[in-house]
Amino acid sequence: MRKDSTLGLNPESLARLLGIALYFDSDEDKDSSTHPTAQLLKARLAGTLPLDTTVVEELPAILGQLRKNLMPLGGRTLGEIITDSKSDLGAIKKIRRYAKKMASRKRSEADRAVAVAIYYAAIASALVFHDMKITTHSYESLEVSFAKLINKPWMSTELNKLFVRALKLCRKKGHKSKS
Amino acid sequence: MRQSGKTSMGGTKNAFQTTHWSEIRNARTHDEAQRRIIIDGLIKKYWKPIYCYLRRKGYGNESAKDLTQGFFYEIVLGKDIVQQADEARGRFRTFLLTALNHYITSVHRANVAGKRHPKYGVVSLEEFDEESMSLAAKDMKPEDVFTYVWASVLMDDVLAEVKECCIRDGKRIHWEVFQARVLEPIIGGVEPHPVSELCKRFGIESKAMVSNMIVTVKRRFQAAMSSRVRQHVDSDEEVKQEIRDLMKILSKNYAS
Repeated sequence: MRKDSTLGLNPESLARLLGIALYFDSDEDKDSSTHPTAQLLKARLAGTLPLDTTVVEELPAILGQLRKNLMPLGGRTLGEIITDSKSDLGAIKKIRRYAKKMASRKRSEADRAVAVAIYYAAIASALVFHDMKITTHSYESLEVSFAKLINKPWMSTELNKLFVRALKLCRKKGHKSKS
Repeated sequence: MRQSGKTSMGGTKNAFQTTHWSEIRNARTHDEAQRRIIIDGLIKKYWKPIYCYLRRKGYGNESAKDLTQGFFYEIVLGKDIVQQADEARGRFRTFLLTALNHYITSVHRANVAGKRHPKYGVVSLEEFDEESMSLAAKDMKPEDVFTYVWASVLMDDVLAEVKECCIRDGKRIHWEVFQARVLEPIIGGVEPHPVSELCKRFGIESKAMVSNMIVTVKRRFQAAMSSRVRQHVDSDEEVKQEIRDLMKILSKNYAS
């Protein structure tokens, strides 16, 4: 890559640079917008689920229920799917699996943090919009995880709201299971 | 088979500014000299994504150059595309790609294998580092390569404009802080420079001032990006959507 050109830059970084223009308005009042993890999270949320092994391995099942499983993912960004109350639960589960795989890869701290955020966002989405716990984590454990994510300076406003709602639900359900 | 990508297309500058439908319409002038200026300007602005798209389609360096120039002289300057531009609503980026595909099909259909040099002679297109571009876009479809190069050139222009504007306004340190805190971590994949270190390096009084400086440059970045993207879409509302679409296309090429 030439020093004065972004040609040759990986597409991820280029998407993140574009994100500076796109997400600046809502973050203008927050110092967190300068955080590179915030930019990366936004770029990830603006992306779609890739046709990688997480999806390919499921092709036989997907083909069997094409409309039900695959159509909800068509062209929609991860951010849209996670924050839309009408999103299909199957699509949310796929995002959770994809994020889990992403988090397990040896990448930068920012990459891992973003993957973990998306992983928990998918779990939160299922809890809030479908009243379903799509993980083996206990409600107590989820409550702690959501609380930690809410405090992250780079967290997006939309995900923050989702985590707050999910945390309240976990607290409620956790208390119920104890009593 | 990999072919050499070295070309001197595009002149000496790396500039690739965006344009507007009106620029193409202006090319309808009967003044040959004026037409030449306009078409040269269009080639300089748009040849990279088109050339890279053709290369990814499998055309060799020379064929891709010929087709790129043929496309501009025969199609962009031709009557048809001007009429289509008059009627078209939507993104200039997708319009250009569609027109290019029609052109390639027509070239094949007519079995025109010969050189497509314009009557004015070959326009010099700048030296282009296709090696590094190919590495970054190695698994992309031709259409995505087109978008990737389009976005890259757009980004280069925006960054150059913001930098120039900062320096012109006596805000060189603003630019350098933005570069250290925002650009370098994204482009180089490095940790952002600590704010305290930047304060020390540039003699900035407080951390809050660093944040303010970044916000100032981001505002300029956003304005420059919006202004350039606006020239390719029909309304202000579509600017953000166009950026989102670019991000979406780029994202699907890194997410796996």
